[in-house]
Amino acid sequence: MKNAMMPYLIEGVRLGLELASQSVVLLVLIPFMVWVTEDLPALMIGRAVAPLGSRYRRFGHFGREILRHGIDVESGLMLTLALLALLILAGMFFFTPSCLGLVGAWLADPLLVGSLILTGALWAVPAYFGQVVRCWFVLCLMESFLVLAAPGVTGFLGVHHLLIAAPGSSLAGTALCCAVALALLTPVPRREVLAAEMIEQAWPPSRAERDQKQRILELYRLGWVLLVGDSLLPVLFGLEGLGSVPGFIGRFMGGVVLILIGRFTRVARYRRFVALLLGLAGLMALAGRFAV
Amino acid sequence: MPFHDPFLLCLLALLALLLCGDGAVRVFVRGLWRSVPVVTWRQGGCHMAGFLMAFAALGLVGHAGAAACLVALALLFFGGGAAFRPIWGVPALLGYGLSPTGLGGLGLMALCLWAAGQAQMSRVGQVVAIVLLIGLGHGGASAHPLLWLGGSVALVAIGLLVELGRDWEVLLRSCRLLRPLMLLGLMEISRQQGLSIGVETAFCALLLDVTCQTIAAIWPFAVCLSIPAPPLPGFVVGWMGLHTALGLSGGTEGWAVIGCILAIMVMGLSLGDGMVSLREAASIQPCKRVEWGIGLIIAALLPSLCGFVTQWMPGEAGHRGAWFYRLPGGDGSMIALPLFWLVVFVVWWGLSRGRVKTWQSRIRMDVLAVGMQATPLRLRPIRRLLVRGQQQLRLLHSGGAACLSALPLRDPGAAFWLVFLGGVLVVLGLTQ
Repeated sequence: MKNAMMPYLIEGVRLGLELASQSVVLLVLIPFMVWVTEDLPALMIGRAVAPLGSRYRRFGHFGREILRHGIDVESGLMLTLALLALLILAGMFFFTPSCLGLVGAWLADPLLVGSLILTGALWAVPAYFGQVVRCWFVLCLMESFLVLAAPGVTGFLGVHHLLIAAPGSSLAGTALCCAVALALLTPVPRREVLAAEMIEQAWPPSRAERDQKQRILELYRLGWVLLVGDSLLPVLFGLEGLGSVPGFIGRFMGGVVLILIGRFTRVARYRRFVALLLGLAGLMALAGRFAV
Repeated sequence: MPFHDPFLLCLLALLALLLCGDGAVRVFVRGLWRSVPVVTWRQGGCHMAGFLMAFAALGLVGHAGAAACLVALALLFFGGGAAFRPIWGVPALLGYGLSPTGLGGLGLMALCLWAAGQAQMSRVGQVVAIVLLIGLGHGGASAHPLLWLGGSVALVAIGLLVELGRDWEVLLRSCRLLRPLMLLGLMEISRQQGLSIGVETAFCALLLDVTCQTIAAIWPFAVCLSIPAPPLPGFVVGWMGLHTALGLSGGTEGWAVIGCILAIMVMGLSLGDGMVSLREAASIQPCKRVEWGIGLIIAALLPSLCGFVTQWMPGEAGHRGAWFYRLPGGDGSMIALPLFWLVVFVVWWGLSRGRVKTWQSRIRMDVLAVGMQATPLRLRPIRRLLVRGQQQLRLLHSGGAACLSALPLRDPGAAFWLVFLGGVLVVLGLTQ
């Protein structure tokens, strides 16, 4: 009996170790990524911003408060969902390349993770409903096109394996078009919008809780950037060993660059581009499907 | 007797669950030995009789004529005259009795959809109408799945034409009616194309959908379960339906594009249903902490249980335990949603362990409702089209009335019954 249980025990320990190491790497990187997404654009247009260290201090304060006093149940759920979405999208594997699919393979479904992020956005600012619905339809279309281009793949990891096996297929083009379409959308409310909303609702009452809500929303914003990066460069998703960290940062930078290009060239204002890009993605998917 | 049919067995179990949970029936049973107000007691008796009729109708599914009579009785018991209009209900049921698997199935569908869409019906009655429709229409759906899919969409569209003038929320409410029918159609199309995994997934999604509606009819708070936000069962229904349709588009030749359209349709229906559910959830009184706990446990376990039942019923010795850590889509993809729930519970408990005791269980659904009032979707062109169609329909109606008045008859009702008699005779002559 004991001998029969041993492999499961070892597997469980490895899985726990894997999850812990992934979370540690992610938590170390989060303040840096927030700095890149929020302060770097301001720095590029010549405004003075707070240094990177202040971001780390703020997140450290946030974590200490939570560990000491706990967090409100509702915000706790949203924080959990945000952390899990980031963990899924990070797609790093250190010890167990095909680890039971806990965080990587079986959950990295664009529709699932995107809906998680949209849920967070709706929770923060309910008035964003129309925006959220639009993004949701884009996500549904993206999922359909990915499956149409590559029948039977499971999420981003399946796309990665397929791209490794057959590089330069129509799948890459479909993913690229979908990524650009996603980059032109902004489902998660910006900091000023959220602040105005909280003042209008007079909720949450205390300043500390408002700060907490801002931190949580920063995670959701980060999640959307990562989603864009993952669909832009699925080749770098799910690398194994220590090489997965550079791959992760590379995907993230790809997402940031794409979103910043959209913002600086003012393309993001024209909603029709999204429809155009989705049409293009559908065409590519159909072409790839009927070519073979 | 069709009791070895797993599909019908599931539906009968759902009906039994409804019977046990219905408040009116409970009042009726209590009134048997204690005094209760006569009006509520009589209503409970009506519900009880309706349930008996529904059970009998599902048991007699092989005999179409008797089943049709029992359906009419059940709908009358549940909704009264509003749910069953004899003037078109009797011909429709007659059509069903004559050809249960052909075009006549559409008659039954129209009848049950009408009853389920009536606001006067109680929630329990609406769910019973849906269950009856699925159980009795299964034969027709498996014979002609395309007719079933097209007919359901067309009938809901006609119902919208009739009803839309009042308020356009009817459009959203019809999503809840249409989604199980579409899932059933998808299941039968997958069976026709020989995609066994698609059949299994569609059945699981259908079962999950109807179960969620059943629980919501018994316990109003459970309407939150069908909101299509990710870890909740409402999302699982949409996701499974989407991937079944995509599996259809990937696995067969002729379905590549239509499968995609069906997939988007299923997910869109989920979204529309979610908007109604959010609005209903907004009006619910704040619940106790225990109720939140029960709701969370149901939400976490329900998809796995439905999947387990799906695989257990046909008696396949598959890898059943797998349902408790992953859910398959119909096309080979899968999500590990039960594991996700497990991690969510662990992390959530770790984060807000200290606050559970002092939590006042106020998740502000009302704020959500306020946000959703602000013109969520721009449906004006569709609505304009529908209103124009409605005008045409009214024109047609007045034209028909003018024709009838030109006939040398006093009573237009008699003319209708004469035409009806002639129609029956013609149909009987054609079938013999």
